[in-house]
Amino acid sequence: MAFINTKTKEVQVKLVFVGPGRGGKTTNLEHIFSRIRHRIESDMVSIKTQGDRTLFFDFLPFELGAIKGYNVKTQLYTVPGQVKYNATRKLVLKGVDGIVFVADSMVDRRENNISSLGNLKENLTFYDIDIANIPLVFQYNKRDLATEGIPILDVETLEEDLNSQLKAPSFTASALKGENVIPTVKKAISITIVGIRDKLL
Amino acid sequence: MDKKANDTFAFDLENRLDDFFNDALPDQEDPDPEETQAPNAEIPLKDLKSTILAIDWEITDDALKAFIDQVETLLERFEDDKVARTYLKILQSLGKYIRTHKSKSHPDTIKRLMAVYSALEEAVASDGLGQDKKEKTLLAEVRKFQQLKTEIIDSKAPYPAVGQPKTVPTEDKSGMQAIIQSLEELKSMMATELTAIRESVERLEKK
Repeated sequence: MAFINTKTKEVQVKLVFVGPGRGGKTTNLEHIFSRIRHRIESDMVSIKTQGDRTLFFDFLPFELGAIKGYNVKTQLYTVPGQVKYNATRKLVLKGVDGIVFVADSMVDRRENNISSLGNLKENLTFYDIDIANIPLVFQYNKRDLATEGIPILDVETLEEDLNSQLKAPSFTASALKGENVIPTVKKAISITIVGIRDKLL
Repeated sequence: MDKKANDTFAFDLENRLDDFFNDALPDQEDPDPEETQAPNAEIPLKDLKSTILAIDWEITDDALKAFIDQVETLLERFEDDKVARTYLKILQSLGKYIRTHKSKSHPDTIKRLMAVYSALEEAVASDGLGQDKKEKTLLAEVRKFQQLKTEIIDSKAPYPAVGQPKTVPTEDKSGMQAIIQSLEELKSMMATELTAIRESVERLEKK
């Protein structure tokens, strides 16, 4: 739930990048950070533990500026994609306002995408959130691999596997090359803030 | 809420997002003063650093394969640099150990991997660092590596019971045999590499 302070005119929204392990979530955040670092005061933070590796994620906070008199602060998070880190994923999803699902376009990651989305649904249910009711953007990442001869899923298959019922906005992208990373996050922020506009107007 | 207010809000929001992101820098990052000062020798290590960070984040087959490939490439590149080669040999051993045991690796392994990389980076990238200092740091890292290896051997935690293959169910036999075989290969490889490291250290000490 977005944090809205009507006295100080501040809004804080939390967006979480989720998806299968090694799908490019951190690369997305790193690219965003590299593009906006000159105009934000904050830094990208990676919280990790080396021993038990139970809790770690990336965190990128920044201020968008004023919208309708409210200073909008955005927090971007990634969660670890590996199956065994579900406790961390669940924890990071607490209070989430919007989601970017970074799917891996590689053919052999098809099942990982589907199971990761299923895991997201379960974790959101834990917080009484229906995935159909939360601002969500799909990003079909690693499209550049096709040029290297690596088989990738076509967009129709990805849409059918992941987005046939949700009908959320979706983007093809190459986070490594920075292609469509910014449009993805802009869309995610946009639909998330639009989702809370009733409280701002 | 009326439609006009909705439209104005959406318009303001889109404008704000466009301003914020479109005013962003092109892809290249600001030159970092420290990086600018670093000599060219640091450049070949950048991929390795990224891969180590990736492994620290999540141990995957892809990352470990990339790591081992990059180390092998660097071994060729630093063929004439005995200090760098010794560090790389240690990294290679650690990488192969992690590849075999993954999340069951000794909890200090990743920490050691990062420490050895830092020492390698310092040795390769710092022209101002004297050879004595480099060798002293190298010796300290070799000792820590040996200490870790001793702890791994003593604990035997990640190792299956090599002497009990007869108790393995028939259907799992091939899997266990593969583990035992890879264990033997790992032991052999570590012994060979340790010998090479010892020889390198002895040569450095004689200088």
